[in-house]
Order: sequence, then structure tokens, then C-alpha cells
Amino acid sequence: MKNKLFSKQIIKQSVKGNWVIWLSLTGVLSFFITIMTLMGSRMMENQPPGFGDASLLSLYARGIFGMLGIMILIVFTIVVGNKLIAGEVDKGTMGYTLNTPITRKQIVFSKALTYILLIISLGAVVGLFGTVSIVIASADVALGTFWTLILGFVLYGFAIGGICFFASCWFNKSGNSIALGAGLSIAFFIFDSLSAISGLEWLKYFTLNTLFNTSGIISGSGYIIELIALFVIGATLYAIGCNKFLKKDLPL
Amino acid sequence: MEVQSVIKVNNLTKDYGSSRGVFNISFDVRKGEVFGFLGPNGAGKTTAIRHLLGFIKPQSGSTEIAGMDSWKEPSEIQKLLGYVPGEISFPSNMTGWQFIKQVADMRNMKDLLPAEELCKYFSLDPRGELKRMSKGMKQKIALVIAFMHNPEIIILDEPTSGLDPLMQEKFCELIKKEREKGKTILMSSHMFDEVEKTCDRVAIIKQGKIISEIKIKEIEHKTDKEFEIRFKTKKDAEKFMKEELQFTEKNLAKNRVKAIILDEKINEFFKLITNYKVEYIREIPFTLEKYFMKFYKEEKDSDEKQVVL
Repeated sequence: MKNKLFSKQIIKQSVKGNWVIWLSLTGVLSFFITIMTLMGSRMMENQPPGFGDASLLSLYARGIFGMLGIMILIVFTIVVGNKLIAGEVDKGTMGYTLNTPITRKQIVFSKALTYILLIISLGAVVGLFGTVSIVIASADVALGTFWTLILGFVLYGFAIGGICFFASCWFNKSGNSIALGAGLSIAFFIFDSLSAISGLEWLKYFTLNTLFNTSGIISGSGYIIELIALFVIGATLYAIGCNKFLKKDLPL
Repeated sequence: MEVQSVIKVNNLTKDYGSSRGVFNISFDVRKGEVFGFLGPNGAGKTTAIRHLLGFIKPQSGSTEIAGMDSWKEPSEIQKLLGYVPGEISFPSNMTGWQFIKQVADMRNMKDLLPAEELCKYFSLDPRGELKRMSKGMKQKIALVIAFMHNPEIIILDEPTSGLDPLMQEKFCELIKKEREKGKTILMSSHMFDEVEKTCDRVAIIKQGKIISEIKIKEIEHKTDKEFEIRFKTKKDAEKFMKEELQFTEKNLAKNRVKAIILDEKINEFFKLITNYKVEYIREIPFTLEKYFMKFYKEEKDSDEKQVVL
């Protein structure tokens, strides 16, 4: 009991408190990828050969993995990340959790685990909907490449989730935690969009989104190191965040 | 045989700057004792309690509960501990009973009968939404959660704030009952009568320092009592004021004096008083409030001086 890393009660509570937002955001994105696949594949069929290089994969890359999906992950990680730790500390309800035999370590590890699993399952469910609709529409999409995009998407979520979780562990006030988590992930998103403009390409060195290199994944080269970097950045942030929560003073 | 200290604070210091925090405080609460922690807001009561709960790390010194260090072994301590926080806040979107069940689940409690009985005791219907509950109802929920696992040690941070007088009375009864069961209780408060009614010993804290520690019995059985005497005539009053007594007030306009008389001198005093025409005589009861105000007034005076400066 004492040496367990996770508490099933905390995991249960964290899922209970966040499944609604998970379901609605996952639902929106799954719906979107299904519609995009079914409509897109028909458009591609009717397209005269040699008309640009538009493929379903590049459509995904721009529409989902460059835009809507990124926004959904940002909203999810900010809201849930803040709520899991800083929200409870700021409100004071963490005090009741700590007045039980559950340790700080079990609390923060269980919450981080639930958080990461929710991010992974968001990506996985979207991937499943994508795969099923690709099969139904018998669209010309390499599933291996598609799932590599999903993997990149999940790793990107893992990394910005790391930022939000770190902020949530570092600060005792919800406001500060949101300011850092939301501020950074939204800034990254804006920098990424702006870096497409000529003259502002240098901005790509100041955003995590560059590491989720969708065109690299589609062309099949120059994306592996970036994905590893996303993982390492995320893992480091979770580790620092957890460590801070274990050692800091809690105003409860 | 030495009585075992269950709660121990050893030279605890936590400096938050501008004389906030606690500074080198020490006290201990023995098994079966009810210890009161009295002081105005911002005196450091909650800071000391947060250390005991293991929520914050001492700058220097240490706190112990049941022989375990609060910072190093909080989860072992929590098995023995019930706690009511100073600021009551609950998760939204939950009923009172759901929350009670949630905490019980985290404590691996199977039997919810004690919680139900406590709700009944405080005439609390916990089925409503937490966010719609009044302050008093929330306070009751917090008390149920603190007591429902029958903990050996109970720490309460201003437990009766928000409770009506009837419920405060019930709370005091509950504390007495728990004390009879041999529980060790530490409670912070700024309500004198509740501390006087329930506690065995009181520490008075001011600006992060413990300035006095006293047994409630010592206040009840004080051997120097203060009397107020009013005379029928000005002449008598004037004459009496020349007697060799320890006067605390001489009010010639009202023919009234106040004086402190030791128990052992009480017969002499009565002999003396028969020489005068007395309108009335009464003992001014010494209360914890009076005792406390002695320290608090000094603070107020020095504050006023600071303002003038």
C-alpha cells in the first residue's frame, strides 16, 4: 500500500472529473476526420490527374494536424492540466485528499498518468475513426503514414500537456498556471502559423509545433528526431512538475 | 510515569516576511488532552497547523505527530488524523453525501454508519448540492469528514465558524465526548467561550510567537480574585481608598473601587469591609477572554503608537 506509485481512487476521480470534456473534444475531432475523409476521397476521385499534389494526407496535415486538432489539444491540455493539480490546490479541495493515507507521490503520479492516457486515447480514437472512414471510402491513403501522423499528434499533445502539467504543479494559483500553460501553447501555435509567411520563417525555431513535422512524415524523411525531441521535452516537464509538487509548500 | 506527547512542535520557524509566519514556537499536546490555539487572524495559527499536517516544510525546527515527522511521513500520520481546514471549500458539481463517500473511499473505509450518525448528530441533510449549501452546512460536512473514521488525533482550524450557537454547543459536546474516549485534540479558535468550555490547555499566539500558555483550570481556580465594591457614601469610599489593598480602579465619582484580594486574605478583607457602609460587592469573574485581552491590548496599544509615530 505504502509503496504503490498510483492510487486507483485518484485515477477514478480524475477520469470522472474530465471525461465530459474528453468526450466532447474527441467527438468533434472524430466527426471532423470522418467527414473530411468521406468528402475528401470523393473530391480526389473527381479530380483530373496532375491537378496539384493534393492528397488526403496533406489535407489531414493542414486541416487537422495543423489547425483544428492542434486547437483541440491545446484546449484539452490547458483545461484538464490546470484542473488536475493547481485547480484543486487553489480551491483547497486537495486538503481533503491529503487528509487520507494517499501520498503526494500517488496523487501526482496518478494524475499525470490519467492525463497522459486521456491525451493518448484522444489521438487513438481519432485515428480509429480516420482508419474506419478511410477503409469505408476505400481512399488511397497509406495507413502507416496516417498512423505516424497520429503518433506525432499524440506526442505533440504529450509535450504541450507537459507544459500545462508542469505549470499546474509549479503554481498554487489557477490563474498563474493557466497563464503559463495557455500562454506558451497559444504562442507556439501563433508562431507556427506566422512562420509560413516569408520573412518570418525564423519563428519556427521558437515553437514546439515545428517538431511535429507533418510534411516530413508524409514525405517519409526527417521527422524521427523531432518526434523523439517532443517526447523528451514532454517527459522532462512531467518529471520536473511532479518533483515540484512533491517538495513544495501547499497552502491548504 | 510520563504522559506521552502526541503532537509536538519543536522550535518551528517559518518566516513569510513582514512578521508573518511563525517564529521559533514550541508546544506539545499530550495524549487525551484538548489543546486550544488562540490568537487573532494572521497570528500564525494556520501556519502551525499546516506544518503539522505535512502541507508545508519547516524553515527550521520540526513538528511531530505520534512520534512521526510531519514532513517525512505524512501519509502514515494521516491514518490517525482527522482535520478540518480553516477555509472550507468543496468540489463543485457534487452532493455532500457523494463527497463524504469519496473521502471515505480514499481512506478505504467500508462502513459509512459513523458518517450517517454524525450527520444525524448535527441535523445535517448531506444530500444537497455542495455549492448550494450555506456556510454552516459546509462546516458540518467538514466536521463529519474529520470525525467519521474515528481518528485518534483531531486537528481543527476554527471549527465552529459559520455554526449557529446551538450547533456550537453541539460541537463542544462532541469534543467533550471525544475527549472522554481518550482522543487528542488540537483546535485553533478566536472564540473564548468555546475554548474555555472544551480545552484543557491554551496557547496564546501573537505575531507568530507563543506569548503565553495556560491551563484553563488555572483560570477557573485563580487564587487572586478581583472584587468590585460600591459604597453608600463618598466619605466611606474616600476612606477605603486609603486602605492597604491592591487596587485596580478607584472611582470616586461613583463611590466605587476594584481591588484584587488573595484567597488567603479573604477573611481579613471581610473583617475590614464591615467597617464600611457597602452598597454592593461582587466578584469580577476572570475569564480566558480577559486573560487574552491583556496580551491583545498591549498589541493594540503598540499599534496605536506606531500610527502616531
